[in-house]
Amino acid sequence: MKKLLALTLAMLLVLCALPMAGVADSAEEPVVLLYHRSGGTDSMVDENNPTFQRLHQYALENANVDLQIELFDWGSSYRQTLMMHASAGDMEPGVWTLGGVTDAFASEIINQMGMMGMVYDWTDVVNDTENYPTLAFNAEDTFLKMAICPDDGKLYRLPAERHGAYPHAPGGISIRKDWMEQLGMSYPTNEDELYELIVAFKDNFTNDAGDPITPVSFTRFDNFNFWLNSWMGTCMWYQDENGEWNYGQYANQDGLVKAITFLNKLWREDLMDKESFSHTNEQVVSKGANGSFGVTSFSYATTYSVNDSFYATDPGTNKYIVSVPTFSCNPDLPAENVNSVEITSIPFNSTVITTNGIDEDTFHRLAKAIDWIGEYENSLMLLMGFEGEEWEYEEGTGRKIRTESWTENVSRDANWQYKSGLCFWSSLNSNVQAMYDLLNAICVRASDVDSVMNIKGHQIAVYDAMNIMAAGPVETEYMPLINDAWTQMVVAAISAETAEECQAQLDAWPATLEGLNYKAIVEERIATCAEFGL
Amino acid sequence: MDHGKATNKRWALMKRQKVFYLFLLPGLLSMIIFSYLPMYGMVGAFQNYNPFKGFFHSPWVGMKNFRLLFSLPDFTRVFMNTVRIGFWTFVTGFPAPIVLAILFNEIQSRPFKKITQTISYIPNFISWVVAAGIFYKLLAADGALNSLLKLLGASGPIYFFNEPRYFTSIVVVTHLWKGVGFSSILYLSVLTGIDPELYEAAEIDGARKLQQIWHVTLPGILPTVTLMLVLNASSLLNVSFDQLYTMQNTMNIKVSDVMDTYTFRIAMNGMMSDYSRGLAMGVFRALLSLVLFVFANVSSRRLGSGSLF
Repeated sequence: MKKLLALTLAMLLVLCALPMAGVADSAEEPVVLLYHRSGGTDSMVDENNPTFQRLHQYALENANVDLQIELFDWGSSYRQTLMMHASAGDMEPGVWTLGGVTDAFASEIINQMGMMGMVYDWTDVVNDTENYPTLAFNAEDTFLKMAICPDDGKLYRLPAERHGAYPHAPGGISIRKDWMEQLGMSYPTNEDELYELIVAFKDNFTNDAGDPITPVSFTRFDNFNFWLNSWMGTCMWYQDENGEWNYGQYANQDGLVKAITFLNKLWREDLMDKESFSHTNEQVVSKGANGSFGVTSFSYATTYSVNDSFYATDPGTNKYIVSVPTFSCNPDLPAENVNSVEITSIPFNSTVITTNGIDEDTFHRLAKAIDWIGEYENSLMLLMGFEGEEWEYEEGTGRKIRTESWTENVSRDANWQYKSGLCFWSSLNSNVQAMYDLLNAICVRASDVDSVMNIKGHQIAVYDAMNIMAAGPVETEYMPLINDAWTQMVVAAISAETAEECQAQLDAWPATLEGLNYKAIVEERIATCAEFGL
Repeated sequence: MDHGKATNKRWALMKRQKVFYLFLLPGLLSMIIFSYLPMYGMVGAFQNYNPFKGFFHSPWVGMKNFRLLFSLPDFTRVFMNTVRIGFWTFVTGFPAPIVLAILFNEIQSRPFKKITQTISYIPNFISWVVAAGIFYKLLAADGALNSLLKLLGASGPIYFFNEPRYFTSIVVVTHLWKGVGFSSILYLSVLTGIDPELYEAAEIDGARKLQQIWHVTLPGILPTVTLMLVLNASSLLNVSFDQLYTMQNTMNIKVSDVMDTYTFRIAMNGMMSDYSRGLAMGVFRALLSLVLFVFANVSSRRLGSGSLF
């Protein structure tokens, strides 16, 4: 009897212990989502930033994900650096967002990496809509199709970040706010107003050494698509008085000529820094810090560095460079926002997960984490921050808008999105609706959401397929030469000593393009787009 | 039998001098590993090189890359830029260290000699990225040179890095500033080896300083000068990529773009196929350098100044 009792007790103990063992087993270590994203020292995450800490804790508690960001700065040799790492097989283990703002060529490298077994194939997880419901949903069909490796039909990159709501990116023109306020001038909304503002700056201000200024100075970017796109919004969309979305006024050939001619006028009238194309970034920051210019182009690093230099010498400073919507954006956009929206820029990022250092189980956990990020609430949180902290519901309309404290304390810091880590997660499978709601909160009214949703079909066909699909053989051959010639033509046109010389440079461009096989490239792209049914 | 004896003798000599061969070994190994072994990479100039497939599995395309290279629209311009910049840096950069070495040799005060020599060597150890930054600052519109010109009555700043006409001069001057001190070390070491009695004899014969330099110093270093001339002639087209890339910008690119920077820039904008074009450019330049090298050697021999081979 005693033996029977003892045996029963022992069995009971074992039965009780079993679930405990199960609990111990299920207390898994968080999966580390070490997210590699391109960016320089000016876009470093501040791990002490309260928003970042909240984000990190939220992901740990709700998804058992340890969100970490690592930046890589490959600069102008992005593709080649990627290729070197890829061919050497020494990509650091983790999740990478590749193929950023430049590039169809990176797509080809990624496919090669996939075929060599360096990155995982997403096909199964994307097709498994039961376990990974947001991956396919948020990566729309066309992008998925374009992302498939043409050689073996596998999906080595998960398309991310469509619909171009870049709420953290100041778009276009950046201006000394304190100078504007001193002169009682408001934000320019067209070319003429901008010109007036520039002349007023020249007439009324000197630099710290008391020397006259040239009000406009650019950073020394050689990619003029970037300059013109941001400065004049040459690829921007805007909404007209009928509520129709149209391609920006500078986004056609005539508009581009107009933009370049305007810049040449600034050059000839000594309103633009003649070292714009030859000085170093450090010189630009130094010039900005000593008040040698008051208008500059959109530039992540330099604009922020100039602001940082102001804050460093005077934390309570009222002088800083603020970005305004470009002319091609909706002119009704609230100009006080530091962060305007670059609606059409779609860098087609590709998320890849390395096989190096990551086993299959971890890959699936990471895919699950990215799927979790793609849920509406999580995307919203990771893009905008937390309710009550970074945003709140507007009374009466129910729209999500920035809180007063955020607007007062944070919005002036142009680096805030980087420091908080908010802008990075958007590259990982953001929820479509969350992106629209984000637009809604920042600049676009609720009534515009439908129109914005309608843009996307146009964007793929009209904007630029280069960032989406891999380049064909003709494009591979000639596009680098065209990009090179384009840069030189634009500089030559802008820096021409007379208006006639400027026009001559522009007039010579079509012949140059013809000589560089541009027509064949266009035909090649049209054929590729046709394959995708665009 | 004689041949066998000679071989034995040679081995015996090598055995006695094994320590010297051991000294030679690291340099020799370094040269084999970093200069000879990588030569197999030249095969990439004849392939459609794919870094994922490597040199042994990339497809062969023959002379296609060379044809593509020579058909590039700016090839003639960048080639002429290379020749022009190479020529002027050679013409100024070759005699300058000799002159400097002779001047150093004439300094009587040892401390002063050491100080000036050290100061002249230092720029050699500064990277071109830093050096270019220094010159950007110096030659900026609000830089030291323009400030000086303003004091002297100039009406407005000169944008040195904007205007193509100044670029070659900037390259030559900066190249001299950076390299002349270090390059003079070799000549200085040869000068110290010249017998002082020759100078005494010349002085007794009434030769002035310049005449001593002309009749004693220069003939004393002539073999070294000849050797360096032959070696430098082959690197006429090897203009400094670092220097030009850091000083180049879109305003001066018409004159600053050389073969290396052009290939590099196109490759940065381009794709894997541009590795092959870059390799083809390298092979083309290597062949030209070889021709120049042989030509310089033969010319030197014919002029009675000696030769390398």
